[in-house]
Parts: sequence; structure tokens; C-alpha cells
Amino acid sequence: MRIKVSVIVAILTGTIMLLGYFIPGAFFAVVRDVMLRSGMLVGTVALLLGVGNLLQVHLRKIREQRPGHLYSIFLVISLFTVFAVVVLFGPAHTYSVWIVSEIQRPLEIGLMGLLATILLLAGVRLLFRRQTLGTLIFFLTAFLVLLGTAPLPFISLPFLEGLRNWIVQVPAVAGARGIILGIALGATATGLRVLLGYDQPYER
Amino acid sequence: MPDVRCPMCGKPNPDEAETCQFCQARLKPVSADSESAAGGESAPDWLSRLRVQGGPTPGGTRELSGDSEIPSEEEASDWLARIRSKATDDGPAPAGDTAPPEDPLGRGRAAEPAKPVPAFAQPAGDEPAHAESTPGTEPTSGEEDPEWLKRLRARRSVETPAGATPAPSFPAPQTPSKGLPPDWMHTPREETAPGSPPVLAAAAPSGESAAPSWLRDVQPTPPAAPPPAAAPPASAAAFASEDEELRGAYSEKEIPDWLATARDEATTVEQPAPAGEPAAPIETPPLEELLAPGVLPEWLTAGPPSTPSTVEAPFQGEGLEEAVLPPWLRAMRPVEGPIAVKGAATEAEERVESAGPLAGLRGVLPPKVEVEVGRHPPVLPSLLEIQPTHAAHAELLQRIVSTPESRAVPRARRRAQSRPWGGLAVSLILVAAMLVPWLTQTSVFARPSVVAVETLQTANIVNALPLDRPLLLAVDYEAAASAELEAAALAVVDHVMTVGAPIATVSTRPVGAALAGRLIARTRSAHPQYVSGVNYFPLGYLPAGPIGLRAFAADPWLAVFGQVQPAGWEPAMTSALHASSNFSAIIVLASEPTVLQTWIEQVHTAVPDVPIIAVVSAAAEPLVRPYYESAFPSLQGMVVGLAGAEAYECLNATDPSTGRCGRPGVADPMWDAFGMAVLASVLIILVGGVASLVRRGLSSMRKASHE
Amino acid sequence: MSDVATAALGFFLTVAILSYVLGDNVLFRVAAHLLIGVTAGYLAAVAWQSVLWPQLFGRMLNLGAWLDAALWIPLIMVLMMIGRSTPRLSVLGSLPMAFLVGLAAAVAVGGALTGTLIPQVAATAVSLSPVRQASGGMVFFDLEGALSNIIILIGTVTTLAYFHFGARPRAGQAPARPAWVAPLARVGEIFLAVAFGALYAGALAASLTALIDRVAFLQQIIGRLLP
Repeated sequence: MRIKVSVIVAILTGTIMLLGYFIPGAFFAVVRDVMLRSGMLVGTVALLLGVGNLLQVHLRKIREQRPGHLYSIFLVISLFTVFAVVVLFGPAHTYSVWIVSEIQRPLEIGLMGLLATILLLAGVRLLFRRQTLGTLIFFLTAFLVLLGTAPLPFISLPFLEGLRNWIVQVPAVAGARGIILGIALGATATGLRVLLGYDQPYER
Repeated sequence: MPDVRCPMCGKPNPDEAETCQFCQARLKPVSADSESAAGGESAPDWLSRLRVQGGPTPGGTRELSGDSEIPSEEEASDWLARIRSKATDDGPAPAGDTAPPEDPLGRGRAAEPAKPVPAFAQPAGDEPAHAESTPGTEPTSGEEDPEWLKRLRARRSVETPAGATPAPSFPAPQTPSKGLPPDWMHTPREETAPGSPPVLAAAAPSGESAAPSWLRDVQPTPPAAPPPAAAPPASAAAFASEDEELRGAYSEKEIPDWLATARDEATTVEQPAPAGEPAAPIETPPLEELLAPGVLPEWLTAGPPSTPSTVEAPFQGEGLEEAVLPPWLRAMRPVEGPIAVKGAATEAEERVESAGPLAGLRGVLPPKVEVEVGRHPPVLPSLLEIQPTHAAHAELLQRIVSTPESRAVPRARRRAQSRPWGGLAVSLILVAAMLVPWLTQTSVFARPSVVAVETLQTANIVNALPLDRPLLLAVDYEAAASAELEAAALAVVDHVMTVGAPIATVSTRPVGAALAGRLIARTRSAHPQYVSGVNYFPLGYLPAGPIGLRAFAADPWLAVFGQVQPAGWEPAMTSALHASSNFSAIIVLASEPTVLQTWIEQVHTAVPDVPIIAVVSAAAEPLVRPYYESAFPSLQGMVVGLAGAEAYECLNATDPSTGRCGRPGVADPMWDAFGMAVLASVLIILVGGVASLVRRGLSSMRKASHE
Repeated sequence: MSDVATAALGFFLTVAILSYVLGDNVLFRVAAHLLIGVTAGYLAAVAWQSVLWPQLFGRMLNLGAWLDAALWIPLIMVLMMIGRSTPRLSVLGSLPMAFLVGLAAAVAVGGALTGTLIPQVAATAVSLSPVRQASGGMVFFDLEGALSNIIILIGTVTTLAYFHFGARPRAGQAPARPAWVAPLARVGEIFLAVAFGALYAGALAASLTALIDRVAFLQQIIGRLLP
């Protein structure tokens, strides 16, 4: 069986990192330090390549004048402008902070606000389409948690707050803990498959 | 002086040049004495005609002209007689397709209407009778190259004008292989198996109706001959034999008489056109009669498939069943078009090489092949024989496809939502609910009276922060969550600054540095003693998620700055930043549970003695709480959403007269609007639930009434 | 930029984004593409300004830094990563990607084991006895705590059972879970519904907060414009 060099690199890297969790020592610490810092730089370059790919896609769209290429012009112009400003003045400069505060923040918060409408509409549709025990429990929980999160006008019902606290601290924690354990088990299994060479997501 | 194109490199050369000036290929055949190469016999008329008519074209080949060489009646009758006798002597002809007279490879329709030419090689006995009309096609013996090839090369030296009928490329052997009928006399390949009776290569054009007697005698049963468009290709059997047969046939030094009169016969022989099938124009090939059956390999003589109606040709093979195609398969066969059964050779196939080592061969690729790179092959139409049922199905499909809905062209602009009114109504209700407190300037919602335990614990930890070690503030939320988290974060950071603990900020998000700067800028207005590098240390951006956090846990300074040393920072604090265990506490501001999980898994496991406080969005609380609600908690405190922020603000101070928090931050002005919005949401869900129950009840009642 | 212009820009952007309630339109698309461009540009700039230049390319100007393995090892890998973009050198990009994936997998596995699996399992395996002992040595009866622990234990186990997808085919019947897993999965489904209900409520609360922020902003702008 022909073993690829990349598989050997992945297994070796992972093994050294895992051993560092269980074997203390200066040697492993130094090697791990170099590996971690190298990984940070390589990961950053991967981010940049992703941005480059985004740019390439939209530039091609503009060049070929596909439908919607006018929107891509906005994207490309804003990308280059922000890149230039932040590189020239630095991420902590007033201009950079202004871009985040006055452009990015309103847009993202607006999108988040739209989510409220969408969540309510989806909830109502779910009530109409799927009326099962699970749906009933789902909406009952949401109903009680919401009522306990925000107070009622003119009146105060402390038992609602207590009920809300019990729901989020006991049954919801039980369900969430099961979800977290399931995620952790899945992550462990996936990581071990990569470290043992069964999965090779880095190969094209 | 006309230039001669080199057949190898295609470059022009003077007419009198013997070899090419560029590639040294021979431009003229070595032997020019056609009569001597023919063994002393005079060249037959048709070859003489070819010599006069044809010459190499600029491409080095001679294009077939529209004019066919029609052998004389005498020549035709002679070779036909020989065929007849030969057929009687040699037994059933082998299966194979007969080639159209002009198509040695038997691939296509003749370029011009032409009479079919029997491809039978004449018997040896008849050859002398045709010697006079046959071009010197006798093979030589005792030489490397067959004589016939040499003779052909010699004859090729005569240039034919454009449009003239080219001379045959090479003579066929005089004697066909045993039992192999002429190719063109056979039915098309698909319909015939070895042993099938020969079918004429090309049906005669309209006007020619009856087959000659000799042809009828040769064919045991009259086949449903293919139309001219499906003119049978050169018989596979005719060309199936090896070259030895070809050479062997010419070792007899005989010139088949039928070769001499082949072209004449082709114009006079009448092909039996099958009923209802279009007659194919046949062009008498100059060399087809030279090609005896079994000389060339089968693949050279593979002919075009015949039309479906010719499938019913009876098969005369020995012990073999005739292949009958099912109707649906027959229907798929093209009637016309580039992939239909062809009766005529294409231009490339009809081109006859006139010089060079390939002289006399047909359909040879030109020396310069122009390759089109990067183009898709052309989509050529083909006319199919469509059955009525197929036509009906196609029409139905066409009707379905061409309905206006299916014809809708996707527009660049998306269409509006099918029902925008639901979203608009919900949005209006929510916005109206939010505006009521601001418009009425009333506050009807009580502030949290009971502070959650996790919020109290957070306040206790902050109160106990040491002043000689920095507090790490991880700003790990996106700008979208800043509305909610800034409210809680400002309350907590305000508390920390009130205590006076040094603060170091870091973020695993690119925008985190800017958001951290925003936070510090807003709280520093109330605490101007915080100065960058003295008691405020912006560590910046930490890339690569878990990998960066793992490196940060080992050495925060190295992970963030590497070897860079920011100027003007306080040395004692700077040295404390080289170990994560030096942090007094870690406050993680996160909008997603996975972020907090990563901090716990990578940092808390490395420095478990450093308490971690989570300031999280309400959306992340359910999946973060298990880390707090534990006998061995990974989190020592939590502040959740706007409610937690409001509670924390009230912890700082409460105005006893108004009941409002004495140190209002960002959360307090939003509290009433938040209460109204949550109330409106609950009512919408309630109404939706009741409506769904009513609807379900009504539908079940209707079902019951129907039953 | 002046406050008025900043406010006007914020107003326009907020209205453009919130116009989606009327359906997809030009304003929303412009705003969305603007957001993507700004985010991508900021990300690229911070990645270069804060990481790549000071820790890699800027250090290359210092000859002494070449002695550090943490410079030339990542430099080689970065160059190979960049070569991945070209067809001829794309095969080189698999090595740094393999390194990154191996590193991330090990970090994830180690963190999941030590940070989540073991602590969460330990948190579930708590005493179910209602008899507790306070820090001062006093013993007290905590029925509520015991009941909560029982519910959490049952909920955790049954939720994990719900994620058991080992249904086996049966002759003549639809595939189903093993007989002892099916009832556990049904109970786990209820706990999952509770957890997702709490998640839904939290998400709704967070999004309402964001909407309140934008509505308040619009209200402030309009209030300034009105006499």
C-alpha cells in the first residue's frame, strides 16, 4: 500500500500534540510551541486564501457580467477600501473602529433583528404543520422561559421566574448535556479518524 | 508554373521537382512507365481516362469529382459475365458489405449518382478478355511492393483537373477470396451476418429500377437492399482477407477484365431499389471493381447502417439466424444526418492520394491535420424515423415543457416572497410594541428583583480581583451580538474598572479588537485612569481558533506578539503576560456556545486555577449552563443576556426612590422595550397555537361529518 | 466623518437591511454585499496587519530571527499553501494542510477529552442521595437537589440514547432501534424538546434585543428630524 507523505505528516503532527497532553517535559513543550505557532500562521494564510477566492469569484462575475454583477462591484470596492484603511492605519485606529461601529455593526445587528421576525413566523408555521407531543413540549418550554425572562407589566409573578430558572437549570441542562456529550464524542471520533489516517480531508 | 504540394509536409514545390525541397519526400512516383508496370498490357480505358483527367490537387490528393467514370457497355458486360461465372464457381459469397463503387472503404454514399459496380473480382479465365480495358493493374512479382501498387503510383503521376473523377487508388486483386462476394453487393453490416447474400453497394438513383440479370443471378434471394443513403459499405468480406490475398491475386499477372469495365458497368447496372425506400445515387467508382472481396480488412469496408426498412432483408447464411432489430431500436436509427447510414463517402474519404508512399489510397488523413483546440464538437442533427407513438410522446413532452410556468427564465432579481404579509405583520407588531414605552415615556416593567446565583458569583469574583495581576477580557462575539452583549459587558467592565484591576483584552475574532476598543472607550469615560500600556493592555487578534488558544494558554505573549515588544508598556505587567496562570480571572464575552467551549477545553484545562466567567448571549445559555451546573464546574460565574445585564447593573446600585438601577448602563433603557417585545412574541405564539388547535379541530369535525 | 453623515449612513444601512421584511429587494442586496465586502476586507487586513506581517514576513527582515525554527518552518509551509492556488504547484498544498488538519484534530481530541467529556460525565455522576453535608459539617436534607440530580441523570442518559442510530433491518418490518433503546430514546426526545425550546426562547430574546437596538436608533434619528 502506498502511503502518502501528507498522511504521515498529519499522523506525526497529531501524535506529538496528543502526547504533549499526557507527557510533561521540555522537549515536547518546545516542539509543541513551534508547531502551534506554525499552525497559527498557516491557518491565517488559509483565511487569506479564502478571502482571495471570494474576490476571485466576484471579479469573474463582474468580468463576465453575469446577473447580479453590479452587487459584486459593491462588494469588491468595499473590500479593497476597508483593506486599505485597516492596513494603513491599523486595526485599533479610529478609522478602523469607525468602520466596525458605523458600517459593520448596524448591518449585522439589523440582520440579527430580522431573525426575530423569522423565528416567530417559523414557530407559528410549525404549530400549524406539525402538532405532536414534541412540538407541544417545545413551545410550552419556550413560552415559559420567555415569560420568565422578561417581567410582566404592572404585575410581578415571581413563580414564573422560579419556574423559568428550574427549566433552564434542570431539564434543559440534562438535554443540553446530552447534546454536548454527543458533540464531544463525535469530535473525538472524527479527530481520531484523522489521526489514524482513515480520513484525509486535506487531500484533493 | 503551377506549384505542386508535397504530400508529406504540404509545402509548395516547383512542378518539375522530383522530391520536396523541404522534407525530401518524393513528389512523383519512382516508375512512370505505366505500360511496362502493367506487364505489357495496354492500360484499360478507364485508367487511361483517369490519367488524363486527374492529377494531384494542391493538398496532394485528388478529389473525387462529380463525374463518374462510366465503363463502356462492352466492358461492363465482360466483367459482369466474369462475375456471374465466378459466383457460380466460387460458391456463396462471404458475408460482407459491398462498397459503393467510388468508396473503397465502403463508408458512404457516392458523391454523385453512379451505377453500382460489382466488386467481384473476375475469374482468372476472364481476365485476358479485359486486359485491354483494364488499366495496367497486374501485380508484379518478385518485388517488394506489389506490382499493382507500382503501376498505380506510375499512373498517379498524371494530374487530373479539379472536379475530374479520380483514378482508383489501387487495383483490387483479380481474384476475390474464396466465397466472398463483392462488398457493394452485400446488405449493410447490421443486417447481415457472414454468408449473407451480397447487396448492391448503392441503389441506383430514381429512374433506375431493375437490377441487371447478372446481379440477380449472383444474389440468391433478392434482398431488401438499403437505400442509397444507406448504401452498403465496402464488403467486410471483400476486404477481410489479408494483404497476401491481394498480392497473391496479382501474382498471377492477370488483369481482371471486370476491372477494365467496372466503371462502365456501374453506370449500366440497375440496382433493385427496395419498395418505399429512397434510391441512392451511385457513382461508379474508378477502383471499386479492382477491390476483390476479402482483400481489405473488414473495418475498411464497414459500411453505413441501413435504414430500418432494410432490416428485413432475408439472410442466407448457413445455420445462422438473421438479426432482427426490435422496432424501438430501429426507430432510433437516424434516417438522415451525419450519423445516418451513408451511401456516399465524405469528402475526406473520397480524397485519393496521388503522391507519396500512400499513393492510391483513399480517405487518408492529410499530412497537416488541423486540430481545433478548445472547441466543442459540433452538434450535428440527425433525422430519425419517428414512430407515431414516439411522436405523440414527444409532442406531449413538448407541450408540458413549453407551458408558461416552465418557460420562466430565472431573473437576476429574485421575486418577492410569496407571502410577505406575515413577516410584515409580525414586524409591525414587534416594532409597535417596542415603541410604546418610548412614545409614552412610561416604565411599567419591574426590574429584576431576584439576582441569579451565577450573576452574584460573578460580582463576588470581580470584587475580589487582585490589583497586581491583569484580568483577561476575551471579546469573542460578533458585531451582530454587540447590542445584547455590550449591555452585559459594559456593566461588568464598569465594575472591574471600579475595582481598579488591570485589564488585558484579546480576541479570536478579527473584529474583536475593534469591539474591545469600543468597550474600553465607552467605559473609560467614567474611568479615565485606564491608560493603554499601564493598566490596559490590548493584546489584539489570536488566529486559528483552538490552535491559537492552545498556544495562548502556553505563552500568551508569544502567541499574540511573537517577538514583537510593544513600546511603552509597563514591564511588570508585560512580564505577567508571559504566562496564562498569571491572570487573575478570565471573562469570556461570547455569543456562541462553541467559543466558550473552546476556551474551557484549551485554556481552562491548562490553567484550572484561573476562574472563568462567561458573559453570554441568551441564545447560548442552554448549551453553556452545563459547564456551570456541575459538581466540578468549569465556569465560576455567568451573566446571561439583557436580563443578566439589567440585574448586574442593579447590583452596582439601586435607586430606592425609583426602584431603578442607580447606575444605569445600556441595558436599563432597553428593559421596557424588551419586556413589551417579549410579551408581544408570547402573544403571537399563543395566538398561533390557539389558531392551529382550532383549525385542527375544525378539520377533524369536517372529516367526521363527511364520514 | 461628521455625526450627521454617520447617522445618515447608519440610518440608510439599517433601513436597507430591515427592508427584507417586504421581500428581497435591491436595497437589501446592496447592503448584504456591502457587509460581506467590509467583513472580508477587515478580516484580510487584520490577518495581515496583526499576524502575518509582525510574526512572519516582518521578522524575515531580521537576520537573527532565521535561527528560530518558528520562522522558516511556517514560512516554507505558507509558501506551499500559496502554491496550492496554482494548478502546477497544487500538490504541494496538501502537506501544510495535512499539518494543519493533524494539529487541529489533536487539539480538538485533547480538548474534548479533558475539557468536556470527563468533566461532563463527572458532573452527571453525582450523588443521588438527598442527604447532604454542608461545608460546616452540618447535614441537611435536600430533596429538591436529589430530584434535580435524578432528572439530570435520566435526561442525560436518555438524550444520549436518542442519538443511537443503530437500527437493524428486520424481516418484513421497518428497521427499528433495539427494543431496550427505543423507550429510552422516546424519553430523551422529550428532554431534547425542552432543551431546544429553551434554545429557541434564548435566540428569540437575543434577536429581540438586536431589533430593539435598531428600532431605538431609528427612533432617535427620526426624533432628531422631527420638530
